Amino acid sequence: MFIIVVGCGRLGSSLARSLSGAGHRVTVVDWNPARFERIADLSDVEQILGTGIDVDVLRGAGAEECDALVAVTDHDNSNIMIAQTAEQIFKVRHVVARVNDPRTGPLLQTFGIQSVCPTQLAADALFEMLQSGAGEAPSQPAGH
Amino acid sequence: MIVVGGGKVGYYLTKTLLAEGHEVAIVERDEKVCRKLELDLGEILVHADGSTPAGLELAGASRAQVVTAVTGQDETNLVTCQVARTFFNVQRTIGRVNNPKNEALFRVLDAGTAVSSTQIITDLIQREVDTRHIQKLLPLAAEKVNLFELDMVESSPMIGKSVADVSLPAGALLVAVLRAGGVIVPDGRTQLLKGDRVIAVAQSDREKELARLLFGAEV
Repeated sequence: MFIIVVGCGRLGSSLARSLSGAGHRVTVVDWNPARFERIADLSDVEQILGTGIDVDVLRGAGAEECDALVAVTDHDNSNIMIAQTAEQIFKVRHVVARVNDPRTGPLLQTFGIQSVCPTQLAADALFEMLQSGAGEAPSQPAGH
Repeated sequence: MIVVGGGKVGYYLTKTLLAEGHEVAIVERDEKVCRKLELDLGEILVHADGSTPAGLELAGASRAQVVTAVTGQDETNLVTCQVARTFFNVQRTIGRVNNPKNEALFRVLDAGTAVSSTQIITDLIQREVDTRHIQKLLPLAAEKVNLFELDMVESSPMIGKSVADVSLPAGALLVAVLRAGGVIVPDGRTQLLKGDRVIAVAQSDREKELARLLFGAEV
């Protein structure tokens, strides 16, 4: 698959690494050249310097041919805009946006955007860990 | 009316709307900016993120006729307009776009009217330096049709001819003749004179044809 990752922060670069390792063709877009240092060792990954909220940058990154596009910048509104641009203008088949604010859920549902909320995932995972942790620990009756 | 964005544009827009007698709420998410706005807009200031349903709700979006998003970020303005339309059924939404390319996205997503000050200023600059005698004035019908202004310079072969004798490209029409500070709505008998400025409606891609026709050659 040919996948465009918009945003080369911690999440974007990790994702690019995994995808590239799995044999996919990956292009990463970021307006900040310093961020590309995170993926400097991935020789197969193409780096596009530019802002993802610009149609020409996305077009230059291959939005017209890609199979999937993930919007993983730090800003929810940017990701929402990038995701809609990819879907509506470039007709990308598979588009996912990262949103940090869990309260954005209903908004995305209404616009029909698939999303991942790292905040919610982390909260859920921690909740699980704490729940199961509490179940295993032997409870000491008070006074002993 | 709700104005989202408390920067210079939002501030002056709000003041102007208030002066015209409108009921306005201004929404700003940054606390420092809010403190500055409090001084003279305190009563109508809402400290919230106007690009979220919760923020717009706080600002009274369910009663608003117009929501104008004028923050410095195109993406925030786009999402604000979309939320206003989808969640609150606001009929008129206007979004500022700094990047003129984003005007198209507003249209595709049916988010409302996009206003690009960059584009407006660029057009004005073009007008100032445009020494050609045809100018595009106003795009219509999703830019497929345009309003053109044509100058009847001395060399024009059309001078002295009547409108009926001018063979315009298909789908074009001369709608007004500006002469000596006045406007003439032409009919077939109206004669074109030197110094006239003619307003024509034509398909946007017919500009060269119009030029050739009215000036004898491309100017």
